[in-house]
Amino acid sequence: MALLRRVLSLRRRTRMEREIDAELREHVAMSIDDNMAQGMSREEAERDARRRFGNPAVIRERVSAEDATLGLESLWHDARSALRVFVKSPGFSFIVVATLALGIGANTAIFELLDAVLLQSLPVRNPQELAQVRVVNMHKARGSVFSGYPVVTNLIWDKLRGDHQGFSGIAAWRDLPFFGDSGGDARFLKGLYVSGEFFGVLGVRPMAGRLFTPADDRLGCGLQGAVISYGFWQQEFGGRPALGEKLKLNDKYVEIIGITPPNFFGVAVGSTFDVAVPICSQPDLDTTNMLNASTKWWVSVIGRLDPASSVEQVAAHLETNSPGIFASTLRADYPPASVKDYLAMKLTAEPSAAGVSTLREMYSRPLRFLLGTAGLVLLITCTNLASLMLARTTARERDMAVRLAIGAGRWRLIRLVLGESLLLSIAGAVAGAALAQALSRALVAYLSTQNSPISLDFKLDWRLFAFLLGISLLTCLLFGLAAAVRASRTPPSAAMKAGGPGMTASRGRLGFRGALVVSQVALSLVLLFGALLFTQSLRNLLSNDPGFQVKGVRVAGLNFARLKIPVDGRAAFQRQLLDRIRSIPGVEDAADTNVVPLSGTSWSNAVWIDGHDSTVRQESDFSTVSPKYFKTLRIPMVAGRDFNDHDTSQSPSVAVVNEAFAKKLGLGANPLGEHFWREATPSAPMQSYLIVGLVRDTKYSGIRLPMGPIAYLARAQDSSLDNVMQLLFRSNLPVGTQEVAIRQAFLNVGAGIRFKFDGLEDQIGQSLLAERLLATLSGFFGALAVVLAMTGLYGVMSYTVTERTTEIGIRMALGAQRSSITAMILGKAAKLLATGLVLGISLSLAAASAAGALLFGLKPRDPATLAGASLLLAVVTVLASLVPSLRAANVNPTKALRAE
Amino acid sequence: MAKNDLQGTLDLLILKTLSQLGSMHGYGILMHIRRVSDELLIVEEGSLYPALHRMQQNGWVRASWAMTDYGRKAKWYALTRAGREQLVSREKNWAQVVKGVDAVLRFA
Repeated sequence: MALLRRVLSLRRRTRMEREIDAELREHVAMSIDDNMAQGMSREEAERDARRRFGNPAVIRERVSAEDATLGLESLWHDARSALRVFVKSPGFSFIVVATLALGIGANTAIFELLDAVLLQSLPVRNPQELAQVRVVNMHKARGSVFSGYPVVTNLIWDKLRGDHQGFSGIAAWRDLPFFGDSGGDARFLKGLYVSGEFFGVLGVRPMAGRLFTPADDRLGCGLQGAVISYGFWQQEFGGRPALGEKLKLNDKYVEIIGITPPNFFGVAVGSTFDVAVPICSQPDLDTTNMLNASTKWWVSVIGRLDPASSVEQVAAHLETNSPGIFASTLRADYPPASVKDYLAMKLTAEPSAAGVSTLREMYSRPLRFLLGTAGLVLLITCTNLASLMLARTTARERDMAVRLAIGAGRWRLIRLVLGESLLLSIAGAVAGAALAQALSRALVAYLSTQNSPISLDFKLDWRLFAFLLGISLLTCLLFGLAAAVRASRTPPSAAMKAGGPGMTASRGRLGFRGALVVSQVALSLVLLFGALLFTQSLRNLLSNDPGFQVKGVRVAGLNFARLKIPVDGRAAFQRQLLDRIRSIPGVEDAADTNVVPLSGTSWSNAVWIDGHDSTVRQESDFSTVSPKYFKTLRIPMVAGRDFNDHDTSQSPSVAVVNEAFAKKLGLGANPLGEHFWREATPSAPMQSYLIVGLVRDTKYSGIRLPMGPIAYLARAQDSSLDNVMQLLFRSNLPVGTQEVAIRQAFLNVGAGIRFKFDGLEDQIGQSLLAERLLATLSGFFGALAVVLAMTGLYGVMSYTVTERTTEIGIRMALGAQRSSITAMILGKAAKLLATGLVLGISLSLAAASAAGALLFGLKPRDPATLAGASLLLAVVTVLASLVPSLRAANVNPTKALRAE
Repeated sequence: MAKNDLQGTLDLLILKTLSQLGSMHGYGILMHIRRVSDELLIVEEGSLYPALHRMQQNGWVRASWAMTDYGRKAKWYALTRAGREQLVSREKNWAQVVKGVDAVLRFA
């Protein structure tokens, strides 16, 4: 009750003050009445009453101040006075809010991204019950692996579906692109193969029509229907009724039978799907049947746990069942040499509530790291703001002193200053949140590429809100409290006496501001060091010589399945197409390969020297290439010859190897004329190759990996050529004209060819996105930190100079040289700087190990980088303190002394 | 441990005065304390009104505007139930303090 009344009374503040005034007025009147009753004259009576009563305004203040002691100051009152203060000094307010917005905005943006990638759950029913099945020793699997996600073969999935003890339901899925066009520039639809149980297990309900059930997913089902996503429906049909419409997938027509709800994006975080078909439709959509192969690892399995069982129990059950499952799924297509490994494979289960994501694996560490960095920036922002607030409070010292002198309590002053900083924090947080929306979208746009678009579900959920609120409150407390405590300690008498600047100097005050500057310098050094490390790491990666010339080479991905060329005619067709491309004016070289270097694809097999036992095997990377491949990529030929048109399926199998290959197999400097064996693969038997050429080493699947052995095989001798080509061409024409010419060439050869262009350099750049993100953002943060440290030191030094103007004046009057005054001030700055640097260096060294795994080509404690960062920071901050130091030397002694 | 400070004493005086007079305005409370204590205790206006305000906010007294015998409008204070309870505990507390101080003074 009492509390309620007090709160209510806050809203009637002016009325209450009027009432107090009235009460006090009546009091004085009664006192006068009494005095007159005792025989005083009216004037005497009034004078006596006033004397006894004192200043009514002070009493009124004290009466209202009782509310403050009760802990219930009018917040509104404080906020209003704070607002008044800001309107009076817009520059200060703007700087504070902008600094804070940057700090909070950067933090929130990174947190939003982190949240969308790492923390959010799948938009399905009870996602915490979901678990995925994974093969433990997947690296031993032979055949084709279709995804970065844990995969099994369709045969294994069939077994899992048959016995899913511990799961109340289990489902399989795979995301694979479909062609949605009929030739020309390829248009891909984001396809999803799902088992019949998929939507049921995830608890997804149709928005329209129906979703698949186990009855739709039967062997030999053909193309019964497709389910499309809400996004695809909007984009393709503009929301018009789509049920019953036909879609063209890989040149086949499929009827749309259902639409999924808007929030369902599939199970892979960061990607969406356009159209889903049952797994049993796979043979009808693709040229190869993957349902009955034990070497096609392509479906991912996700299950909903039984309420009675845990992930551990399910994992244990899967492990016990593994021998039986693998034994019963082995087919004749599995390479005999690897059967033992296959039978020894094990299955396990792991939680999958947040969905699966390669995005997560790729960006988890960089994002966490960046969040830490952003946190440091916020910390520096706070110290800077603390400095600002402190400087401001000092400037308002007289104001505070007057308030204290007329009876304001310390607590009230603290509240006043705290109210100001609270208001600033809130304004900063709001501006920061707005900035964050723009920033996080920009970040996603930055990470999204044409070939791997990322779609993330950003939402302002309670976690984000709590995070934001926490940050702004923490900031407020951090920088407000320091200023508030200072303000309240101002001795009223001292401040009242002070006539102008120069008298209120106290060593303790600068000490605190000095400490702020020292910590700013230290934190900035850590950030700058990090920024330099990542920038250098990225530069190392970019300038890292892959062994071939990337610049100027473009890649055209081709698919000519529609032309229906028989396998034995494909080599001739490809040669004809290549000749056509080469004859285009401006095209210097063109070649064809099945593995574009540094694109992420790889192919490796075991090899051994002819005459040796096949147990002495080495792993080597492989690539089938057309003639002129080495010339196109400018890979130097050391000895022997390139492939030529005489290497055909009728001539002996030949190979070109690189130096690492020769070295690894102990072939010496001249391996020409030697033979080596390649192990049997699912598509080809064991085979021997004659080495006809030797080339320099190059990078293969990733720029971070060292150069290893590579054997190049002749494309024309590949008996299992697919319907696809990866055309590499180097030309001196501008990208646009060059593509127009080549597109025309494709159309002339066959109207049904699908193609897609890409720059080799861009492709490599895409593989370094995480590094680029780290380098760019940490560079941005580092620069921000340096600017903040600069302004911090500049501020504190200017303050010192202003504060010591009188002292400097006296020194100069007594004959001090200007240079010695400058030196004195600079010395002070240098001391702060040095302390900060020492602190920063030890912090950097302590924090460096966290960055270790993210760096390429340099050590996390790289002394040169640390020295460089320190030097850069030192130079910049000394420059910042030079201005106030020179100003100190220009102090006019007469003026300074007269000011007293 | 008996709690005592100057404010506490002033509160006790005001509460007691109001319990004796039933209902009174600030000036009257001031005069009453002065008269009854034989001018030994002179409460200042600067302390009285903040104390009254605080007691009102705490719900120990309630106030209303009414005319005085001499035709002036004044704010009259009266004890609430919480105020009476407060008085009882304050009186007990005061007795403890007196006892304690006495004991210290008598210690030889």
